[in-house]
Amino acid sequence: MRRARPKTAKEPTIALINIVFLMLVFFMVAGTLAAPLSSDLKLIETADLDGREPPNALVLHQDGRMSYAGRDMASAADYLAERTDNQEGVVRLVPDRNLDAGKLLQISDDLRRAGAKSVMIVTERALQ
Amino acid sequence: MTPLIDVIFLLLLFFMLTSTFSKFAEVEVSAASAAASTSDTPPKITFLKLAADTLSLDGQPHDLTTATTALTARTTEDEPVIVLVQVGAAVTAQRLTDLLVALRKVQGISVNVMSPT
Repeated sequence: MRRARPKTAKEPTIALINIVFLMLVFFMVAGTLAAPLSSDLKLIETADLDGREPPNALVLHQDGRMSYAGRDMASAADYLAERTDNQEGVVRLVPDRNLDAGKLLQISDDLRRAGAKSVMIVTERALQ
Repeated sequence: MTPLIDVIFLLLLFFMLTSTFSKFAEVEVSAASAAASTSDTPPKITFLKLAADTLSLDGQPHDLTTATTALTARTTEDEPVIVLVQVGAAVTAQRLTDLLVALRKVQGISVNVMSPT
């Protein structure tokens, strides 16, 4: 039941636009805009936690380096002075999943001593 | 027609390259602190030692699921149970978070993670 086409068919512009529009709508709806974290960072995977928006948080690399917004931070106090989100007292950490837990606890201790009230670990929700 | 396509293509590229599909979640690290005791009765304290692939609850070996059931059995209505978590060497952040997420589901306990200093 295929419709016969003229021999010199023009480029099907409308169809092209339709597909591209569909893809555009898909990415606009399904994706979330976020500042990229470091590409070598492997986030902790969890299930059973409520989702939240992508973090603007202190990144802890596997070797214990700290970075925030792409720049290395020397200490926890530097981060508190530097950060721009206005959530008083709540500090979010994005640790690599292979970071030593002792190092993580030590950094969260430093943050508390520098004035943070609660320290949260940001994880990546595993697909169910 | 062509400028329209150009713009839509640009938008498509922008959204394809900037969007992320990871879903994030968060869990609190509750540090050991000298919290003011609210009740008169001394709280029950349970000691949990977390190692790289083992876990012991007051000296008894457990895994994540049996530890949560054992803890649920220990909680009572009015008495809070304080769980002191000691983190051993070579424990990764992933393992600690797994434990915190598991303990989060147990009602009536307060988790304190001691820092290794």
